[in-house]
Amino acid sequence: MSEIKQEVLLGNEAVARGLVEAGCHVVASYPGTPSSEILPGVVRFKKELDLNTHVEWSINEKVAYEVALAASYTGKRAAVIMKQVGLNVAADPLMSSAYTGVKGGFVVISCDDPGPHSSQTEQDTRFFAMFAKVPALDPSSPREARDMVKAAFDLSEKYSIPVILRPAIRICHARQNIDFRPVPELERPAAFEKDPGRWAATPRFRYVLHKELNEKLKAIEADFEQSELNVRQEGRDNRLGFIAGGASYSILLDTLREMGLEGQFPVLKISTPHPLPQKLVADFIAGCERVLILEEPDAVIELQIRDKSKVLGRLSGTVPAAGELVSEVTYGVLAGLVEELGLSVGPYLDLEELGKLVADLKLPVRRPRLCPGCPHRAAFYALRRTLGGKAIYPSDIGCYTLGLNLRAVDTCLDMGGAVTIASGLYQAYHQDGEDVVVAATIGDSTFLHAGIPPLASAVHNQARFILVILDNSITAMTGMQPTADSGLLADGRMGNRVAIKDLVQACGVKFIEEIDPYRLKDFEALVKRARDYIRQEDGGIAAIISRRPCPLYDPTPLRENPVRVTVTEECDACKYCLTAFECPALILDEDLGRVVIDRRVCADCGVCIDVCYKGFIVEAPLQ
Amino acid sequence: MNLQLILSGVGGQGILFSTRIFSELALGKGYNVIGSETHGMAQRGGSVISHLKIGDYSSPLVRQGTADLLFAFDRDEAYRTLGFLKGGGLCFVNSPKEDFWDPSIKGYLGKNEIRAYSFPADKVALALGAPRSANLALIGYALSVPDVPFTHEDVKETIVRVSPPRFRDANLSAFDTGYRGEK
Repeated sequence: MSEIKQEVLLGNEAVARGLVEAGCHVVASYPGTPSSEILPGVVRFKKELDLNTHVEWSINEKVAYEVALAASYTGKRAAVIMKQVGLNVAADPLMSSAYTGVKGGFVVISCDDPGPHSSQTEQDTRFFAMFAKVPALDPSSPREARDMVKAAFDLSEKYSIPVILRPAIRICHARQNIDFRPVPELERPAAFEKDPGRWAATPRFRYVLHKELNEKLKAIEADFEQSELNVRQEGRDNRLGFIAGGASYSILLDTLREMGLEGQFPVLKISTPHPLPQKLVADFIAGCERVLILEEPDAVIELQIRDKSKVLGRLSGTVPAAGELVSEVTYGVLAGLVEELGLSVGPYLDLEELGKLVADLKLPVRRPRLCPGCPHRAAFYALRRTLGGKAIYPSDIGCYTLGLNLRAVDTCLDMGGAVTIASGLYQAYHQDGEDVVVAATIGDSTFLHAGIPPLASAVHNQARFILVILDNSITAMTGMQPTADSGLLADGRMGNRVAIKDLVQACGVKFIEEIDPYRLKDFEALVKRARDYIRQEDGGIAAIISRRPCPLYDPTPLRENPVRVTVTEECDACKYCLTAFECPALILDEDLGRVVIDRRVCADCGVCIDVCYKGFIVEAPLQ
Repeated sequence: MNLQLILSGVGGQGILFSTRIFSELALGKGYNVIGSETHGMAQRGGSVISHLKIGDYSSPLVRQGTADLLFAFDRDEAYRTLGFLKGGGLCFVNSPKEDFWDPSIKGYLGKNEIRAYSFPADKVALALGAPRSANLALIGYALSVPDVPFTHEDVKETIVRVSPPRFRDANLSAFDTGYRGEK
């Protein structure tokens, strides 16, 4: 017997494995937590197995969706990957392609972030499946996520419909041992068959396609009634039953086991939350006195259940209406219901007491901060120091949202929102004849993703603001994915470079300056010039491209030119540097009564020398 | 074996790598493993926590009050994640001071029979010229304590197997120094 290759994979890598095991030909994505590691996983298997898979980091999710969709038009298997808010950006093609249908299997992988841990909303991708009228599959473990990729492709091809796979963060960022299965060679030469009534359907045909879609959904629901993806386990005690899906299902199983109640109550696992297999669910509920629904982030299963008289869940108030159903929350809800039935949930520690004791210790809050040596910190510091507290600072999605800590971020709405909010703020104040400086910050990847049409629109409509593009040459927050400006492709090869500076120029901006943010004094002088420009008669938008690679991505410049700093004994512990610059390497030594450099984390960028206006931070003497 | 571990600290302390050591070891012994880790915004200098469950489990999360072992690579994070340990659990904290627990918490430890050990892993690793291997010094120290269900040989073999070549020697020397309890 040959040994099956097993590996402990991240959930996202398991999904990637599922994609290659399903013979997927084209994979396009835009990074975003918790989805970012799926495409690199595909790249890994592509290289290891010498596959011909086309992989790409597209410029945004809408682009990724449509590139993959077109591959499906030709009969190939294709997948698009994004985080849940990315599906907002790709909502337009999602809605339309639900009507037109697909040809080769087409799977939309949209990763949810209940909590949220790293997102602006807790929105539920399964609602998008309902909205667009497409099926959704919801894995409850990395292993299952791998298996469901193939199920999703098969379903997509059976009904010529986009299928959503919705792994939530506890699947994406879980690790589990996964056995590898063979990777097939799926021969699918590109063959686009012209069919204008479908691929170029006018509204009259769209009505027909809508009816077709409704029929598909009915047939899919009938399939789901019989599907092995949904599992009914009987129990000894029907006073209570559970319906659960995704990570909530796994947490339910472990919680019942810990309570010694494994096999006590009936459990229905729903892996196909849309369309909900109504008969399966109604039959299950009929056999129980009460049924608790555990799902996240929202109440998609509960909402679809028609007779809710026996149903407890997020809508009934039994389960909290927001937030992740982590083990502690699930335990609390279950313990209440189980004890009502006169059953014991076993011994537990008094964690409330411990919580109070730990709270009394008043431990320092460890909020996320920009890293030591981060070029964004220097840019934010210079902006804030030059323009002060009266200026308004719209910002955007990325590491640099942490410019909040330097009081140089006032808004963070969505991808590209820095540019549009800056435009709107300018117009609102300008209308009143007020001169308020607006200074927007946006990262390189975010600018490419959603900043270009807003900038063209702002120029067109005569808005005036300072736009700082924080170009660290990489998508840093999500784990170092290359941008179009770098020219690098998803698999490491070199593609064509799309220069941000050229794009800004093409949008009609006349004031464009590139600068290294480590040159703090020069940066401050440039911000002053930019402020003058937006105010002068023939002025407009002033764009500053702040260029310096993320030191985590490319440490070479700092390694080659380190500026080792030290704090002199004269330091009077005024804490200006600690609050205004907030570098993790600057720490207050209570015993010495002054600021010291934490050598373990200092990046040797030397920028703080210019921050201490009293001159107490100096270059360390050569050793 | 059914075993639940929590590893906590701050970004950059090698928590994910430490988790990998235990999960690879368990996989090599034929156990199922499942766990959960922190990514994204929270990694930027925030608290990092890793859950690992070895054996017969479905979900990747360890519930508070049920972990068998806690490795805290930072003292403040030890306080924050202490609640994960079950009564009778074992805890290892990277701390320059041996007796650092606040008196109010010592009561909780005693009452719940939690055995708490500390070891100056940062100091030890720094002295070896391998500051990034402090995580392995703490793990090494933990293995010298009876009742920790991993053997020195198994962990050592796993470190050799999964360490990137340029960190292998540093990792091994930190691990062995910790195991010998040399401060």
